[in-house]
Amino acid sequence: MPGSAALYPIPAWGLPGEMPALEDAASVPGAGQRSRASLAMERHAEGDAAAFAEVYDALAGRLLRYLSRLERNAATAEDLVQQTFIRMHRARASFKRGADVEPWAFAIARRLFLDSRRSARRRFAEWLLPEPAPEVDAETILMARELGQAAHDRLESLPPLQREAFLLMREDGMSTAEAAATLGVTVAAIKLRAQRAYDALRVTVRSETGNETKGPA
Amino acid sequence: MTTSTRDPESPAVLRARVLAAVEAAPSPTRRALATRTAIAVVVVSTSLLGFALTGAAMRGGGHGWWAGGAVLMLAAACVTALKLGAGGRLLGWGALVPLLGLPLTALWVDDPFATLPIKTHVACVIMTLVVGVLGGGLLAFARRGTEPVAAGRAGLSLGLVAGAWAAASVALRCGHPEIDHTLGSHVAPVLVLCLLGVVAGKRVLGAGASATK
Repeated sequence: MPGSAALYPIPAWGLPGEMPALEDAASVPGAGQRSRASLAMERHAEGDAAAFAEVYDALAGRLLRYLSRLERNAATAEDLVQQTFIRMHRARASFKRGADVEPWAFAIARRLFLDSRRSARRRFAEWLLPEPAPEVDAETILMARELGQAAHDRLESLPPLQREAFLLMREDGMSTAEAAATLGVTVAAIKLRAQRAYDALRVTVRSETGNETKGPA
Repeated sequence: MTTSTRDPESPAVLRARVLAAVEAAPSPTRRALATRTAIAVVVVSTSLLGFALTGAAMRGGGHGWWAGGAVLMLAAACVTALKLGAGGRLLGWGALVPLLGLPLTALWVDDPFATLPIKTHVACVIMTLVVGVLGGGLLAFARRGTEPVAAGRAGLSLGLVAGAWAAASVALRCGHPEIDHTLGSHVAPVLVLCLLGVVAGKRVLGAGASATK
């Protein structure tokens, strides 16, 4: 279907043939250098109260985006962001010297989300279903929804660590090393899990798009 | 945390709200936490040392061996304090030294499988649990609210360290180094203390717990 690629709701990572390869931590630009947020967190851990605003400004957007995809309710996601920063502040003394703050912050956010989900038993966010563009025809909208739903269902059926590896690396742009530190697993394990998630989604998307092209004329 | 029913806020409002909440939340700096931890470790280790060396076992002779055990305990305490002070996790050596040291006591015993009355076993189990809970509780209180990611795991380590110290000090105090007594009445309670550590860690070490300056 010409021109339909941009209408599919899932291709944040591209169409099936365009799925990118996993990168090494060393290939990430700036890998090995500490971010400004990490340096600010270092100062905050030593007692510089003003430095925490820098940490907030550098991380709040990313954390809110991450939590908004996990938690459907936007206001609850904001509450989780607030709790994440409060916990970072309370635990500043245990922030490891020379460490990067990003994996630590995402790990705290993830822990908070898991705790809140465990208590509330809410559904996983249906973040793969954005509203389609208004000018497209009904058939395209329907197909886009079906494809998005299929990918969403497949993603939700994956083991939690595969799903989270995919979200952190493909949606939050984390390196393999950062995602591994966030989830508390090795780099090799995170690569394996993310690759399995890609493979599963690739099969699903190909299957859905294949069904479309083979459909009745 | 329940699902919020309010509308989402603008980024500026959220920023102001978060920074105000952070400012109102007390938290120790690295230096404050290191000081607090060092004090707790010194208090716990000297108390345990005094507890161990004032028991009936000391009056029975073998002072050289008991002094060696005390040195082991102090070494374990120092390693633990250094690990904690450096901001690292509570790790193995602080627990491993006393736990490995206990079974080694059998090397110096004439009859390592002598039968002891059940009362002796029970007394040592209870003493180990009480001493471990007190020591571990003090350490956990000193580091409350500082483990936002893996509080349960940190609690497990804390329970292991506190349990090992308690096991070693009570073993030195009771003076019955028979193998079955050592394993059943001194080492086995460490497992219980590890489980207690997991539960207490989630409640005390998790950053949801209050942390004062």
